[in-house]
Amino acid sequence: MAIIGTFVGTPEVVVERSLEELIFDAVQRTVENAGRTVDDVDAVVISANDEIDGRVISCMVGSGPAAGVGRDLMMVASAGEHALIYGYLQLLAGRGRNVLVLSWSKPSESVVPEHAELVAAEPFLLRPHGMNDTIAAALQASALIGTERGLATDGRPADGFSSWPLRKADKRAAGDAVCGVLLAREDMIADEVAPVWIKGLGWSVDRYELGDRDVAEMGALRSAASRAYRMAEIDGAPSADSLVCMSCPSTIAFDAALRVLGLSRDNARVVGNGASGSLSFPTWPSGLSAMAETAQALRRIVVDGGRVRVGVSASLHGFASQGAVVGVFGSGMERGN
Amino acid sequence: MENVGILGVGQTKFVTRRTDVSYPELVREAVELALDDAGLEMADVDAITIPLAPDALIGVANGERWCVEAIGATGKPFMRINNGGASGLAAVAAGWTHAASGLFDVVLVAGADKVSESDSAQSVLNKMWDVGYERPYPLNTINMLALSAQRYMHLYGADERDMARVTVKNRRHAALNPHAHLRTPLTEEDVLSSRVLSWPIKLGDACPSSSGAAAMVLVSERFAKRHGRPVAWLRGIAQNTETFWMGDRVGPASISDHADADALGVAFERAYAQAGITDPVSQVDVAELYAPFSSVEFHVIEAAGLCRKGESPTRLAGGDFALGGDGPVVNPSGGVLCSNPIAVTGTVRAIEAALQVLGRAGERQVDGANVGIASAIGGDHQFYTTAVLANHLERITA
Repeated sequence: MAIIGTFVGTPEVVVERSLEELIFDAVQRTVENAGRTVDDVDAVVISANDEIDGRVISCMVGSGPAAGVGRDLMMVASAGEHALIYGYLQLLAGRGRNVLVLSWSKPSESVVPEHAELVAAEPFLLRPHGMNDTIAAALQASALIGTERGLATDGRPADGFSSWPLRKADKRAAGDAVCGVLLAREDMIADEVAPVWIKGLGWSVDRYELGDRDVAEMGALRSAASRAYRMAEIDGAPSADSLVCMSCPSTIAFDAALRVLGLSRDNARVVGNGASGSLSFPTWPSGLSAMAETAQALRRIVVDGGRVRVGVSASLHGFASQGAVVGVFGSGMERGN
Repeated sequence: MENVGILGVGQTKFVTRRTDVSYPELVREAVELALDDAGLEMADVDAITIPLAPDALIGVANGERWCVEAIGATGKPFMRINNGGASGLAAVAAGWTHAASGLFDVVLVAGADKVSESDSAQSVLNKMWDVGYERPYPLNTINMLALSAQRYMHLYGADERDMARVTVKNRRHAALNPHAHLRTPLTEEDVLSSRVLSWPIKLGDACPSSSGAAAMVLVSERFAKRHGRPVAWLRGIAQNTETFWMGDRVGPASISDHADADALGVAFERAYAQAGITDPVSQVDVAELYAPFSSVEFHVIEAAGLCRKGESPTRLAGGDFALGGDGPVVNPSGGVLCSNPIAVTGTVRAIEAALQVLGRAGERQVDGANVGIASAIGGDHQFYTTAVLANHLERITA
């Protein structure tokens, strides 16, 4: 199975275009990137968040522009990156030859997008404390800083914190964006396409209650990485020159996640939204975008005549990285699973 | 592709309100029942899919994440499905996909709904419509299907008494089902004299708002063979999607007819093709079909191929599709008309069909049931999931 087409939209606040129009454009761009048309799509997997989009069931209005009408359409609502996993499972299960995967968010549809975060906390313990994604990410970051794990505040100024120790630039951005990936079965891949092979996928989840886990441990990521590496037949850690693209709740979590993956900024080639140390892609589709950007980087290397590389993507979702997905991808002639 | 079957099932009693448990605790009730039924423990589960939609009904966004500890998902692959009202069966399809992929042997499908957590389920559901065009009319889930019923009556000559007969049948069935929410038998006159919600739909034609949980354990064929217990095999499972827009289903430029459920028919054709069913009337023994209003049962029976278009009211009036009648029995559990815990309503359809083909449906058992079908509908009659279940892996015959 391989990624044969990608589209990563530019995150921005879009007021003059509807969510449906953004989705429609992303579908066209994704299939065009693969040299295909919508007619080639057998099934569609989408992922969105109702609260962020301001819809009760976001897939209802999104399914038409997502090319879902007349097709098997599934909305995987636990994380944007889970949509790609499901598309991969569908191909393994023999359900179609080309599966279109989409994830989006349009927080500008909400009057106060941050309010959507508040209802993610259960109402008995966490919500009365005002728990939201920002505070949970800050709790995790504070647990990571100053511990034996060796991460430090780097002399962060006392002002400008959104939730200590995180500044605004440490958090994932809010914005309107759609991301698309076209998956294909091996026998459907044309010679002219530069496929990015899916060599390993792992996903896992940790406890919800923050008091029941060591948030600095990143248990879900460890579990997901272990599964993905095992599937990809990677022993220990990927090769030192691997590409890596990640979606993390904070820059501090980013560095910690690199270590969990057996990589570091010194030996891995960080691509995509994590390259500058800031996280510029909106929360919901950022996991799928990390996978798509990994694939794009690998494809560029092939097109430029570079040697075969391995790309690793990792994404974290939920309060203090409750859930995680790790993907291992390969380019070139060496075929994947 | 690996064959996949249902090894264990669990469902709570469905009621108006559960204030004694939180949402995760409610999910856990069904998980424990299903695992016990399967003879397995949480440690045996390889992956989990959970249906939940819309999460505004329980008041917690991404409420599935809250359930992780309660259902033993820590450290495991875990995924939530939200295809609206179809989520319950779509999550079964997702579980099937996990196991059929060959990567997992034991997949738990588990969920719950506490519709009563919202002050008004309708106020939540009313917001699923497009903000600019259709919400202002105002469309809601009841008048949307009242329009469909009117169109069906116009095309095929059905009337309100035909609708009442559906409720009477299903209430009679539900009286035999200890899990059903509404179990009190009704007469046609009871239904016809009930309060009009949106003509021709009356209170007696409508489903309740239910709370409760459901779960099932799916296993690969290789695991089932090792385990040795009877399994309800998922012989076919499929989905299809209809246009979101009501305006595209009515009028001279419509791409489908709002009276019928042609997109559901396509989903059934796909599942039948996978299962090798060519004549559902003779090959299907029992059907658990998603129909939240009495009028909906007409066109879902027809979409399933159990009779021709426009024929179901007459057939129902003649006693067909009921326990004790000839041919396939439709909704022997009482169906969605008698219990509608939205997130897991579709899961319950598959559970009931599985119990039937395994001969474990108690007083509501259809004699000699070997092959069952299940369906679910989500969105504004937009997302369709269908399944064929059998108690064997041999060729399905009449």
